[in-house]
Amino acid sequence: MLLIRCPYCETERPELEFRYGGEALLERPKDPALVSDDAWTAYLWTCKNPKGPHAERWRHVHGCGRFFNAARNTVSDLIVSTWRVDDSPPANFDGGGA
Amino acid sequence: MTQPFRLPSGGRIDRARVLRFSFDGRAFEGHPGDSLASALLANGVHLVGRSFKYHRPRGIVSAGSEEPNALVTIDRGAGRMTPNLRATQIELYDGLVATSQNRWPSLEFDIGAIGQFASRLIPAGFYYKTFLWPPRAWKHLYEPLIRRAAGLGKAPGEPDPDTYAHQFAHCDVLVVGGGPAGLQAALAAAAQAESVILCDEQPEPGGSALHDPARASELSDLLAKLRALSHVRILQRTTAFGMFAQNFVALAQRLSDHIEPSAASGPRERLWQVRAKRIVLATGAIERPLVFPGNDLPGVMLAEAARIYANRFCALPGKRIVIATSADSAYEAAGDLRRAGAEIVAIVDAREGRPIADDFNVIAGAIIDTKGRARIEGCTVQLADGSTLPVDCDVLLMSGGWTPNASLLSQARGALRFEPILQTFVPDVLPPGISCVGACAGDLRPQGDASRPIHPKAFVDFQNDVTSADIALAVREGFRSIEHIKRYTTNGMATDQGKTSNLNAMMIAAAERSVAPQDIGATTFRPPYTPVTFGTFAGASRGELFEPVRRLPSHQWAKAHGGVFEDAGQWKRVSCFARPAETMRDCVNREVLTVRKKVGVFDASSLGKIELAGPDAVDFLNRIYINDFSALAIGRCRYALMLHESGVVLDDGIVARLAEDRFHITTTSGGIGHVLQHMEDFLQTEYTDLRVWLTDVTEQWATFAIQGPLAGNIVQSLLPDAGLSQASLPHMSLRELVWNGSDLRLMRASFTGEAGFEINVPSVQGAALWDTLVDAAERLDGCAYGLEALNVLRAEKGYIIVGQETDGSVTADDLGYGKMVGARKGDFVGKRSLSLPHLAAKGRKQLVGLLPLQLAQTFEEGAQITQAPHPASGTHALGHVTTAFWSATLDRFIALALLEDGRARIGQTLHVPMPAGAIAVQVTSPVFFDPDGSRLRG
Amino acid sequence: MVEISRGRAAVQMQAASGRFVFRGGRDAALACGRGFGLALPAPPLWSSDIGDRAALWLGPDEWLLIANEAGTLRVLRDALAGMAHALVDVSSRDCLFDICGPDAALLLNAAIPLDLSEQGFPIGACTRTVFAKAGATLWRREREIFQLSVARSHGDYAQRLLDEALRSMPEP
Repeated sequence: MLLIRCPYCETERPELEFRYGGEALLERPKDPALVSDDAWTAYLWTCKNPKGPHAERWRHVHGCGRFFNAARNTVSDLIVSTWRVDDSPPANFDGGGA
Repeated sequence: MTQPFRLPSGGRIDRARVLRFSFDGRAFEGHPGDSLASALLANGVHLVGRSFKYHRPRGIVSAGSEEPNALVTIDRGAGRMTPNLRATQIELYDGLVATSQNRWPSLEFDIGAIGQFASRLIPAGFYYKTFLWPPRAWKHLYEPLIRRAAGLGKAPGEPDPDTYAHQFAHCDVLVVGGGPAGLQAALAAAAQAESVILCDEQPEPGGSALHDPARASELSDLLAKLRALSHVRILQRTTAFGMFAQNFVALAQRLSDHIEPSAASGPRERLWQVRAKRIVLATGAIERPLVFPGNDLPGVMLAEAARIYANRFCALPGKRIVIATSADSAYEAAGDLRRAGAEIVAIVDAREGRPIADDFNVIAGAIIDTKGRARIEGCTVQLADGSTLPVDCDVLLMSGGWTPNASLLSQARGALRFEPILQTFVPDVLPPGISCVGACAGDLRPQGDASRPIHPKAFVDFQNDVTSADIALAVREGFRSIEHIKRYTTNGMATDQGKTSNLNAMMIAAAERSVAPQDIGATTFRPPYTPVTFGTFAGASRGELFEPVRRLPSHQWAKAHGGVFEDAGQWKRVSCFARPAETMRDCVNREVLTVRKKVGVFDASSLGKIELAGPDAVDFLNRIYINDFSALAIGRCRYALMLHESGVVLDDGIVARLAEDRFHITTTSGGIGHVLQHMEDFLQTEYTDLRVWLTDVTEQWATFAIQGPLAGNIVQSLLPDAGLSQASLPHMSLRELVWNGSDLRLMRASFTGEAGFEINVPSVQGAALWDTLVDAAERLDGCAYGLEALNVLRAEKGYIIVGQETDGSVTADDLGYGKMVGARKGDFVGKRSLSLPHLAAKGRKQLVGLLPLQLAQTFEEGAQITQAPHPASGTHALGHVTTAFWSATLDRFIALALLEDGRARIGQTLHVPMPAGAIAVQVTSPVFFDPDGSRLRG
Repeated sequence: MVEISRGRAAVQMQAASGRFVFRGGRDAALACGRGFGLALPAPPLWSSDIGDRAALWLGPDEWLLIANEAGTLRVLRDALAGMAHALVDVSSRDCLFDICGPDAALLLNAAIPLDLSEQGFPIGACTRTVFAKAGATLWRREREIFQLSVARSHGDYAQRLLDEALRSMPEP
């Protein structure tokens, strides 16, 4: 069971309190009506699925209720860092295998 | 004479008490402090089981949890039979009943043993090589045959009557292993004021010091110091079986299996889930068997195990002992066994640099064969010059040196390296926060190596019957990686995970491949270290506590009034309220007709409820739902649909405006969790400019529906002073009132097609209001109705249920709700997807009604819909039935369905193929009853 | 009040009390605290209390207010007039248990995965978490008194699980 640091509670909590929320750092188009079908479909469904560091969304659902971002290494399963949704990823995060 | 091999004094057994036990129906005696293995040895019993594959007679090899051979079944009464327990770990109690496994009809005479003569026919990988042809034979011949032959022991048939407990724990230091190194580590940590948990799989702490009389006083001194410290928790009979990320360790504590069943109380086992700041592995080392032909005969044991049986348990394994070794420790065993009264016939040492031991008959050489059928009678020694020497013995001890017990380290992804001085793998790179001490760290005396002849009777893995010849064969057949050789031969894949066999297998593979041991590498150990019962994992989560059971405010009333319960998620909901001698169908029909003609009350408290507040609430609702809420007046409600960003329907409910900036929202009963998640997601990560907050009030409010032509009478009598009328509270509107001193939210809304209300009161008032409502309804010849009647009522009106009419592919337009999409508003979640080609295409499945042409015919939900009554195989279905009910109101069978181009097909005749033949159906509008909605306005 | 106790731990089921969820920004939180007569705690997972009135931090914009005086809601609404916020009465929503005694933490750790030592979860700490398979809110009111709350319909589950945990507690 992983320990995950919630950047809002500022403490590490067991995985049981969290829910995975898919890939992070995806930007919803400002005006979806102006986006092509292909671009919108890619936004909806195309995932990076990298081997190595991956930016993910998690929610502290049985805690403060906040969504936040996490850099998880998909090889070691370790969550290297977490940050608030309005913060930038840590400087050493290599961008999620893009 | 009982216990002929019991020594007269010493050890850690209590000779003052005699414990009776049985093995395969034979009565024996032992003492407190004995393991089943030691008690059997004290009685001269070596043959305890038959091997898995060849049914060869097998004895006791070790004295600990690494035991590969001595697996027995312990019977503690109905439902309390446990197979495959290691006799070396079973503590003796009075009345213990043990039986051997994998033999028929008896241990001494086993029909299955003819398998061993066919061993040439079932070599390594035989599973992959045979039974290939013909394919049909798999199902009818090979698989049943293999299933009968496979498996070890028998699972009990009755439910497990024991209870099991779970415990989370945190500590600064977790020490695994209660030997001298572990106790020292625990004491050192405790001295630094660190909180310590020490777990040890044995009944008492001490590890190797328990069989070393010279260390007795050191041990008692250590224990006294540790026990005086309040921040040290010592867990005996507790196996650390799983190491997980970030120093999370699973421990299985056995609480009552060592006590006779009639005296045992409390939970049988406890799962400890420990999070430690650091972990000290003090798991010791495991002695390696030697590989030689016939090394699996009962009476062939590990040298240190014999020393443990003699010193700690005072059970002498034999009287005439030969020891084969490549390590110095065997000489200490020889000394202790001789002092205990055994004759050390010879010590056969494979090493060049063997120690000088003039007082023993030390022979330079190796064992090349054994003699005996169900017990060793002698062996053949090959001397350095190549000549052979037969030697008689009743026990043959072997020591191939020691291997650090790194199972847990391997689970934690620590790395090992080959240490030439020790001829074994030792911990190298340790994961953060994990350290090894003592023998586990490789703190061992130099040891040599012995040859491992390739021979079909030279066993490497005793439990899975893998021989050195099998490993050589795997290498010949081209397997290179030790992980592949392991899987192909199954070496190390039995329940003992190869604790005694892995190193020998690696060394054989390395030699056969002519590579250095460090280049072949070590295999990975996985949890559990030793087998763990299912009960330990389940803990309290069984029966009524398997999942939380959530009950509605009307539950007690329903129980007393014929409520037939069904599970809806975690909720217990009522299907119908059956009266005496009433069938379920009659009951549902009665409830439906009562609602249509009089009035019915329904407990809808499980509906999800959210209170939404904030100045930007309307803006938020407009972005989350397809509807336009800009014009929704205070006190009015709207049926609303929510889409996933991909355009499909996610949930539905009613949005009611309480104030300029406050809304009361309902969701489906099962939907509250993901609806809140969905809303919070957009609020927190996309619409961060909106000042809106959500609060889950599902359980704050009990919700009851009052539906039917007389519903207004009930509400009037409940709230006489509210001045309610059709004009002051029209359909789809809400009022906040007070009842019985509590807030009350009254909504005029309907999910039945009848005029109706939904009343919300604080849950504490729920049961009282329910009683009041049912009472009022019954005085008007109304009744309580259940989920089944509700389903009929709403289906008659063509109202959908999310999850029944929708399945993650259905859009609002598919349901006929396309007009609900707010045309004038901007973007909302899911809007962009609605114009994607696959959602805008023609031929999508649309919601329709179906009526069987013959009134008596019925079909099932999920049934397919086809054009032809008997379509050719491969014809694709036009759609499927989503809801199918007997409608008491219409006195006929009705169904809702999703049908390709459904709305354009209204009036067509199609078919629903059922096992008894196709049923012709007419496609209709999904609204079967009161299509213009005149009844809603009462 | 129902009490079950064994040895060094006891479970007392508590009657419902006045409980309100406040959500809003910093200014509204200050105003709410002034109206409540008790500043809402700013540090995460922390509570403040005076007498039988308390404010528990549940999230960066969410507090649980506990007060039994009638009219609390009206006072708070007045204090918050004109400010963006949410204030919701949840007095009926939860089932409350007091877990008391020297082994209260040990008992709770049968179903709660958190470090409940005095260092890990000091007096005044509060949090939402899980209680076996139910969501829960936990608040350490005193050294040997924890308040556990679960959704009303999970009350029976929590009570039975606590009872079983009491019967199978490890040695302290």
